[in-house]
Amino acid sequence: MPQICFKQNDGSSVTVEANAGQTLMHEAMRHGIVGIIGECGGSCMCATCHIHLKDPGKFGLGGISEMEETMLELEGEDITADSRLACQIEITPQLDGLIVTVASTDD
Amino acid sequence: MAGIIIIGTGHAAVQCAASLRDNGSSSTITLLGGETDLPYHRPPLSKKYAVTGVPEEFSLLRAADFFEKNNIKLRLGKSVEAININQRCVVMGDSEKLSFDQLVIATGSQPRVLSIPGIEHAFSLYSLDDARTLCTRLGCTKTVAVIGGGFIGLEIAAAVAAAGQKVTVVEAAPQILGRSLTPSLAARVRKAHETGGLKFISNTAVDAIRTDGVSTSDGFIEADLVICGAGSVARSELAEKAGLTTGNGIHVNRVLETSVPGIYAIGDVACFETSTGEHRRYESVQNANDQARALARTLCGERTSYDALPWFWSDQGSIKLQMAGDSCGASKVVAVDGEKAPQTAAFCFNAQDHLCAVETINWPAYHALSRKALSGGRVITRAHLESADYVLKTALKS
Repeated sequence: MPQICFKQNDGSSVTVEANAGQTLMHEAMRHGIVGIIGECGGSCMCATCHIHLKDPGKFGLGGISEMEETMLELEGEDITADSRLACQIEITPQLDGLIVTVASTDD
Repeated sequence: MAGIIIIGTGHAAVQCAASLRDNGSSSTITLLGGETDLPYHRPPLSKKYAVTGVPEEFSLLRAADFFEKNNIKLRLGKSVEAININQRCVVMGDSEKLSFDQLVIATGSQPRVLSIPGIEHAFSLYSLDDARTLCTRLGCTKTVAVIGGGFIGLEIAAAVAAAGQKVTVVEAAPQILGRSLTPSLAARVRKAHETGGLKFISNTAVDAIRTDGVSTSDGFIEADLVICGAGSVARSELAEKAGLTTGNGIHVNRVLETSVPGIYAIGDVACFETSTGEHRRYESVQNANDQARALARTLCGERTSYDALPWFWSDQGSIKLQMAGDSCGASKVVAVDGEKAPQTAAFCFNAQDHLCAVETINWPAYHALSRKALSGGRVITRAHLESADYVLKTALKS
């Protein structure tokens, strides 16, 4: 199982054994990662699973869809070039070692 | 202090408890619900789980240890039998009494039960347990009839059809989605479903349900299984019995308080007063979460009127329907088709020709932009959109 490290807003890190086939959002919520709310359950209807990814290309992650990009622009705060929605990323064995930074939440 | 009791363990109830803690509440918070599963996301039931089965790790609203960590008492399998307004307590099925300082009713809605002979042979979908049973039943069927062409009915129908079964949707009204979508978009949805293999019989009443199908005013439809998706009703019996003002849900004011001070209602069950003085009851995740957040602020001392933009989605096989705003009372609708059919956006205008809602098929970018266009007190006129050829991005820039 790929190991994925989540960096939370308070500076702490949590490394989880993630299940391939699930989304990054699902696994983050299952492990109670603070700041990942997943309000719409993964339908790309909100931006409460906003994350920043380090070196997505290195892990074979493809580009961002128009739907995801627009939703981020609409709802996300502190959007950067490495912003993604965790619900749109499927976990594969290739993601082993991925570092995910949870976006800051003011709400 | 007796604290805050929340009746319900769905989206609104859980979000309210979470937001109370986020807002610094130190009250005792207790959630009471009849179901035994940990609080879960409801949308996947009809969109997915009914056909794929409920995975062992179904989508939880919060991690399993969230409630304990946040000092929220989650009491599952505890049905509330009565609310005693004078004694400020709720009475449980086992006669246990729990006192409250404030009570939040978040009991949600449940499938409407039609008064048709043989209705006991029809299956309806409400809970995770129902999805488990339905999936098992679908394992030994080949033909399915769905009564009701609303969101839930169509979501199940599309999912079952995609799994290779023959599905017929029977709708009493002349068109599907009549209560929730503008006619031009509903017609496009129907056409897309027909292309995908769904069969529709509209303008047809069901006379009786049998184990081998349904009798309609238009003849007999054979089906190994009949699923009823004829809308939902508010679960407001507790409030009614307690004497709260009800009628299509529990009536609440702008701050979501019922006719009894200190007792509130949120989510599907709440029939709330809008900023323009109308009454609305929405069955949506957005409504549940946003009302929960507004109420949590009020309960923490910052009186907050509920005034969020409504939005909704429905995944029906390959069709993604998304709505923003309230199309109720729209006097003019302009539908614009996109390049990748079926792809449409319907712009709804009120009597003043101001944009009041946007409904889209398979056009998520337009949905997101329309939420931006409709929020923050912005006024977008029909003339303005026309001058931008209904290209939302252009219209929002100018």
